[in-house]
Amino acid sequence: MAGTKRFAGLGMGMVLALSVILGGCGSNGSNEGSGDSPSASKSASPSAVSTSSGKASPSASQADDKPVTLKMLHFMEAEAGPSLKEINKRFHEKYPNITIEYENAPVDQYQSLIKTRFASGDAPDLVGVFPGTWKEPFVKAGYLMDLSDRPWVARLQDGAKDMESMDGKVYALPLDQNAIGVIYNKKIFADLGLSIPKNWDEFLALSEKIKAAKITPLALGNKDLWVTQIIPYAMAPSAIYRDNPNFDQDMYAGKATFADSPWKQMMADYIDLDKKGYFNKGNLGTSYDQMVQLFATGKAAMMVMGNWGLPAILAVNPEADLGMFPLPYAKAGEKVYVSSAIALGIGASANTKHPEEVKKYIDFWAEAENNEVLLKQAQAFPVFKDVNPELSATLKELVPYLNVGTYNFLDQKWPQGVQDTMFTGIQSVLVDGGKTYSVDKMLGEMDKVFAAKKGQ
Amino acid sequence: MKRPGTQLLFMLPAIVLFTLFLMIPMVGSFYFSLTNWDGLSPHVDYVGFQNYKTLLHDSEVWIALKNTFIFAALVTVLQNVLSLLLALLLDKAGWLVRFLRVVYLIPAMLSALAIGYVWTYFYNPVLGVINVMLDNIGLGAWAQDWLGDPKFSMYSVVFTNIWQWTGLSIIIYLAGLQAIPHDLYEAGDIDGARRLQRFRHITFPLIAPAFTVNILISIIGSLKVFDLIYVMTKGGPGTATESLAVLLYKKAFNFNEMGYGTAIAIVMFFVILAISVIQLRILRGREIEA
Repeated sequence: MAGTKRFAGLGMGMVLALSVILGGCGSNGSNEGSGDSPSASKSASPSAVSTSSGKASPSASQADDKPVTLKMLHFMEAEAGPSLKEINKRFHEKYPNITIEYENAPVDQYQSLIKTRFASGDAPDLVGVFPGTWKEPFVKAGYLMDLSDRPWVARLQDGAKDMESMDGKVYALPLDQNAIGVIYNKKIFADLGLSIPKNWDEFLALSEKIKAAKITPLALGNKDLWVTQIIPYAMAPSAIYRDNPNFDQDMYAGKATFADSPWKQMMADYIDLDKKGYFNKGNLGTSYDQMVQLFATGKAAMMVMGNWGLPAILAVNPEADLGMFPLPYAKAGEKVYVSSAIALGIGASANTKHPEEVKKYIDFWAEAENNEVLLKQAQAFPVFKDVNPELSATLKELVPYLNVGTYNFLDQKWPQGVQDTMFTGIQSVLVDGGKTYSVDKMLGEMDKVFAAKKGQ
Repeated sequence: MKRPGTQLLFMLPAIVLFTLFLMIPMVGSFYFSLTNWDGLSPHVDYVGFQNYKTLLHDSEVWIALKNTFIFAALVTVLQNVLSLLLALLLDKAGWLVRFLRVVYLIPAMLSALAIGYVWTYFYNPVLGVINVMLDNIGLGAWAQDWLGDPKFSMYSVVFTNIWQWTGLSIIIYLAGLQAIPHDLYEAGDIDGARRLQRFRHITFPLIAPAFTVNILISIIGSLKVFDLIYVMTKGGPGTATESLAVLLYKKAFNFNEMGYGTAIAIVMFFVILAISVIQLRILRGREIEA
């Protein structure tokens, strides 16, 4: 009798354990933000095509094929939601037999999600591709489709084409680019009689004046890891790449290191801004959303951020009068280079069952008038030589600086893992200005990871 | 007459699920920990115990281990003291008591992501409720960067975790408390026992099973902590709040080192197993039937 009792007890225990474990698994965590996104295109009936506005109804010559559904996984909803819907709508009007099933995931979740999808053989037909070295493991594993023969490749700016290529082949369509600069509150600047600083000393003096007027000079939200990199990214083009454009290649060849480069001075100046009290207090505990709030509500006069911050600020305060200038991390008289890089990109799975339809979709995004829809929504700069959208006044301020010289966001040329090491390092350093965790230690760690991962 | 066949049939679904979702993934994980798989490539290279050797020398693993132990110790001790205290106070009849029991339990039913996100706003150094309130009552000097200052970040996360789970511990303690026969208390009163003696000699020994369960759940849950820390600090600032689970997630997904991350997970499993077995041995011995 004791035996069966124990057996029953064991069974009960297992059922209980299982229910606890499964219960603890929590929500399904599916990131389908596609609730009201282009799945609406699925319900677009043929009558929508015939009643479409006076434009010449797209020919039915391509539309005679069987209905095809393309699955798309991307992270662009935050930046480009409404334009995504609009473009998908137009695409479905042109090719009524093709339907797009869109699934969204926020950027950091997208990164893990796309890897698991490819690894488990459940890859979507269309995927979001980050510019630069991010795609290398995917290309090496044979997951991304070669798009070098597409008609839009010739229309790309050289830098853009380069970023989406590997070993001379193009693996994704870049859609827009972003620049990092100092977004400033024009009203505060006017009230205090401030003018745009042209070099680092002027920038420091200007910040001091703002601080004296009891306003926080710079809003900073370093709790969100990705924000920590923005200021070094804004400094690097002028500090390193203007005078040494081959720095990244030198690093891969083992001829240069972070520890032995202007990075040391960049970090020292970063710490200096904190020491002088130019950031909001407790910036390591402030998130990006809270940083945007601080700036948008006028409690801070400036923030170093990419132009993707502009829509976020305007969402909080539509009346905000914003301007933008590049971070003048240069000595008086020296040229200031701007940090500017590709943002969104679309690629395709090499093993998709519908390669022709997938190519049609990607080509559609590359068409000038569709690309302009996206650029307007995302408030970003173009990547095609023949696309010149009407930029907002704030963005226009930055254009002359972009023509002086630019360099991409640094992680786009780094092996995987260096950026994460940098994030943790910057936070650790900024805790007490590098006393407990020194800048040398941070750069040493970055060098270690770079050397270890550069072959992969 | 008990029929082992029927019993086995009833347990079969649980056994199947257990095997499919626990045993097989565990064996699979162990296999991947012996490779240098990057988590996405179809190509996998066997490297033997290389990952384990590396993690023994990885200072970040030791930091994460230390953080995890500190977190678990703080949560287990503080949460159980607090919930036992509250359970004793709530071991009465009455509508207020019943209402409070529900109120305390509500956080345990909320998603850790929602809790983490909201508490991040509470802890915000400039705009957050906590610092603003301290300022308003004249204690502005006590305001801190709760999540961004490594002196406080661990305690802030511990506090939020306790806030979330205390209600559940209270329920378990209450169940134990209510199983104590009242005549024992009466006997104690007749002998002139005071409140503290009552607790030490009657209450506490008799709720030993509830105590065991609560400690076990607290220790295992807090050693595994991931979602709360990931949402609130992602392990920051720097590595101040990085638990083993957060570290292994970063290694597996951000560094494209799935094999290495899995090795860390296997080590974590054995550490938690060892601690749980030891703890059960110690506490089970105390239990007595009333």
